[in-house]
Amino acid sequence: MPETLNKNCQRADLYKILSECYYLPDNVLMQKIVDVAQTNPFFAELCNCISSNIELESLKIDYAQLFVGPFNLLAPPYGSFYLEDSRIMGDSTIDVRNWYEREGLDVVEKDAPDHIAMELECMYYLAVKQNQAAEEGNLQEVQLYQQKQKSFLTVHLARWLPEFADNVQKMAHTEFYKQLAKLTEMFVQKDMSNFALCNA
Amino acid sequence: MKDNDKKITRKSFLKTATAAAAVATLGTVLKPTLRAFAQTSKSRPTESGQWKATTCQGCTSWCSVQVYVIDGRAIKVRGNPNSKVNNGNCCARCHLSLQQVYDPDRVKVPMKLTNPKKGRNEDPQFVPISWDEALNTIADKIMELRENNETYKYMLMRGRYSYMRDVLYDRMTKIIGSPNNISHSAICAEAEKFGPYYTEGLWDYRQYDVLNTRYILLWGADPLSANRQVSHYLSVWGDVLDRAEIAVVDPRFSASAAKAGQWLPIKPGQDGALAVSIAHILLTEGLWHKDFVGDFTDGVNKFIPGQMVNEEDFAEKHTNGLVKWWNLELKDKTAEWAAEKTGLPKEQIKKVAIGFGKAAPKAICWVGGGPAMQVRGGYSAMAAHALNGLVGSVDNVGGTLKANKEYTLKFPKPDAFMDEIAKKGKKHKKIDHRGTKEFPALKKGKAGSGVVTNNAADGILNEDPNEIKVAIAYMNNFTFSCPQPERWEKALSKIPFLVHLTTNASEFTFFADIILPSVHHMYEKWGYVKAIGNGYRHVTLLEPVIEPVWDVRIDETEMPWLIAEKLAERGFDNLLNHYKEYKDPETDKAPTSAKEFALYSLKYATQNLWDPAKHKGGDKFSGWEEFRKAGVWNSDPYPYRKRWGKMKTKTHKFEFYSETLKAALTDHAEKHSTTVDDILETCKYQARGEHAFIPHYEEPYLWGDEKEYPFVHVDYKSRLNREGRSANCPWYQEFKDLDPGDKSWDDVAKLNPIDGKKLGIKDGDTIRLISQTGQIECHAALWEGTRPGTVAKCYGQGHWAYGRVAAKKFGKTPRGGNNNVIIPADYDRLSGSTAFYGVTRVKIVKV
Repeated sequence: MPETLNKNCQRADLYKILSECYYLPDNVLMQKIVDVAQTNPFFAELCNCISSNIELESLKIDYAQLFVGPFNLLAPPYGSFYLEDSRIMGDSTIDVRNWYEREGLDVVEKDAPDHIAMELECMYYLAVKQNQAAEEGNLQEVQLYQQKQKSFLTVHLARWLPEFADNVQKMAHTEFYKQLAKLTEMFVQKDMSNFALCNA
Repeated sequence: MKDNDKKITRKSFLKTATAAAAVATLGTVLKPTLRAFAQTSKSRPTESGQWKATTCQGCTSWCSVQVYVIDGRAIKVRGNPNSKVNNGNCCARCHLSLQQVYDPDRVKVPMKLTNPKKGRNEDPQFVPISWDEALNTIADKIMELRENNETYKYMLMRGRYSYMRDVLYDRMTKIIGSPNNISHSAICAEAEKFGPYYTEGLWDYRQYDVLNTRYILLWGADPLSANRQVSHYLSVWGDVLDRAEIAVVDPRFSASAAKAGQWLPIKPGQDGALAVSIAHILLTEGLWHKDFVGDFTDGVNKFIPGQMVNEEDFAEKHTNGLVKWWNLELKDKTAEWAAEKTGLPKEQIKKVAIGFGKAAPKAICWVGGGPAMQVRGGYSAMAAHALNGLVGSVDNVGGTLKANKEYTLKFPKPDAFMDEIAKKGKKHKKIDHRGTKEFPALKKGKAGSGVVTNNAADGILNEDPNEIKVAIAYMNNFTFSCPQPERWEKALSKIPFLVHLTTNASEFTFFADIILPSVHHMYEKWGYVKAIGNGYRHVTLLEPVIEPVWDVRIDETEMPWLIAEKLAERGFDNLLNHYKEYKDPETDKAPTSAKEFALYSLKYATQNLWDPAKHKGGDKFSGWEEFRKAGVWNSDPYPYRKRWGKMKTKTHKFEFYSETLKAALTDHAEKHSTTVDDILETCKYQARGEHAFIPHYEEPYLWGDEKEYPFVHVDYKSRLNREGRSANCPWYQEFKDLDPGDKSWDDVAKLNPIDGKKLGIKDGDTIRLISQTGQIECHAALWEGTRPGTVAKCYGQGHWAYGRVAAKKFGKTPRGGNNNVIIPADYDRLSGSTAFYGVTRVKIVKV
């Protein structure tokens, strides 16, 4: 496997696991984080958060208070909340959904399409499509999917992620979610600057 | 127990971490493994927008409305032009619903409590669970009651509802086997119905023929702002003003007062005095409507102030007991007498009474909750409503009308599905103490047939008549909407298993063990409601017009069905078998899923409206689909004067001397082996003897000594309240100054500038309102629209839960203060109603 493809495989992998991290935590997820940390130092710190004894229950409580509610959820995980007027299902949400649809993706998760987990999974999907093109040696497709990823980040995810991550870091009770938010933001930022370099 | 709940360590994972894991994850990066998405080759057809019919239940107007939907998303709203009641109009509240349905703080998934301690100062620590886990837990708890023969310890609490309500409220409670289905009605305006019932046999709200009237006397009602057909009245009020005089009786300057010729800023609680005085003036001035009431046999008016009249001298037509009423109550109730009681100028009282009388019979005395929902309010409601009898506007052109006929069907009877346990359980006494000596709750002439909602908290707390072990509640927030809400906080903390079906986690949800995410009624629900106005009745559908964002279910139909399925799995299938009787009238198919049940039960209930073969009157449709698209059925026009001489009272007449109330009170007294006088004394009324049966004046019953608590608290409702469910909408806060005297993003208590000066309080000062039962903090607004000696404050703010906008700091600092905290839990016991108005004195302290 060529180095760049391998690198992009890791990138896709990270988007996927970051996306998984924004679902209700369970043991399967914890296992995945530990596994990924084995090969990817980027996840080491998050993995360290589960190194001390933690109750899955307390993670769930924190998860709920940050992203689900039922009261005032502390870090709304929805793009439109930040890009529009503190409501969900705004025009930006529909734009995200249209984006997915153009890629042939139908939302099956019962939540708003601009949920952080979905936007991260969309990035994963686009990265995988890039990989497929690379495998096939279709450079034009590779560039097309790179361009798509860059646009999606620029128009959506990267625009609201800093504020969202800031909320999580301020409001989370557990080190796990603080670290996750930091990690997500760092990763996306790095990705953005890589795209900038590519184009330069 | 799933291993998910065990303590986990990194070490335990490291043991199982393998190189294969890394390889496995890499495998997915060449072929995507999707979770939130499915790959599809189909693209969504680009929809242009469509107006879809549904119903707004933001207040009790129940306007038929339409939502503009593009690609499953609601964009904007308007009134449904197909309705003859609201005629394409809707009000500001309807627009707020867009911010409700897309509120990020909505309950999104079923959740369970993880903190074993309940209380206001405990963080409940809810975590998401699956629908399956939630429903299994609920079914287990119900089965436990059934196995132990204690089904009467089950309770269902109902707030707002659609007419699908009986599926959950009545049938499920009965088939499980409990008497304890407790509705919100007594914190609504039941005392208001007391007036028309014990005069004209109508236990209901009225509609008002405003386009044909010449005088409107608005009494503690603010129709341009709240309560029933607001959008219709807002739309026609200009025309109404062209034709009619309007006078408003209200201690504060309401939105309707701003559009009226006369504002009568009455002393709180003195409504009865004004009403009997107006009656006195109408009679002494000879302004009663002879066609309805009758006349003196010799045509000479013998109603002379202070003088008794012989009953034989007056020949009544469609009324009963006019002369008795005069002799017992009215003869001395002059304008001068009323001026002293009410604080209103006697000239104004006379002017309004005479203007009202001269407009007869096209004169409406519009009795709202204001004069009625007071400790002795039942009699004030009767006195004020009796004025409609005097001017003959009852059931008449330009007057006060009942509901037109409609033809919806009741759901199948539950009796055959109630087993021995259920029958025995249901025989137990109810938790709200209705029908006890202290709580006659004389709904429709029968003691103990009305609910005493707010007293259920005391029933639960004192385990009187028994403890409540399992409770389900929906679309309610008694910990906020009932006076002395701290009683509810304690009561709910005491219930071992509480389930809340709700859209937003409220002050009530805070004490739940399980939360189930409910649909938003206007956008995501199947149901129907009935409303009256403009001389028509409409039956308007609630329809799922959008694609719900979250995994929500319909509270009144889908959820009981899902619980019934789980009960059936546990060997108790009576409820499910009962629900299977709600067949689709088009196919005769029994429902097989929650979704089918929600639709079939609605089609079942409304069949007579849409099935051309069953047509009985009003709009006619070719079938279900046409009805569903129109969204509303309209009745035939109002048949005026059909009830004259045929009223559902004991005498079939409009009763100024209420034989109907006499029978009800006597029956209640006999049940408790005592006298009517004793009942009235027990229930805090002043009437003794014959006075008990006539509309009369009672002094206001106010909590708190005048010296210590110098101000009378005036509570009223915001024109933006979607019954207390809209405070988490930013638009609610931004436009809060639409309530006269109020301010955006704030909660203010309004004091007359004269009182402000006396107390050294300036506009914007933080103040504390203190009553005998509680205290709240808010800002002061000096405002001439408040009667001196009173402090007026709008109900709606003061949430400490409900969401990011509603509460200032969630769980800790409310935004402003909830009026109910300072209102003592007291009642108009004859109707069972909670008292909200003219209940308490307060003192005001600058903070």
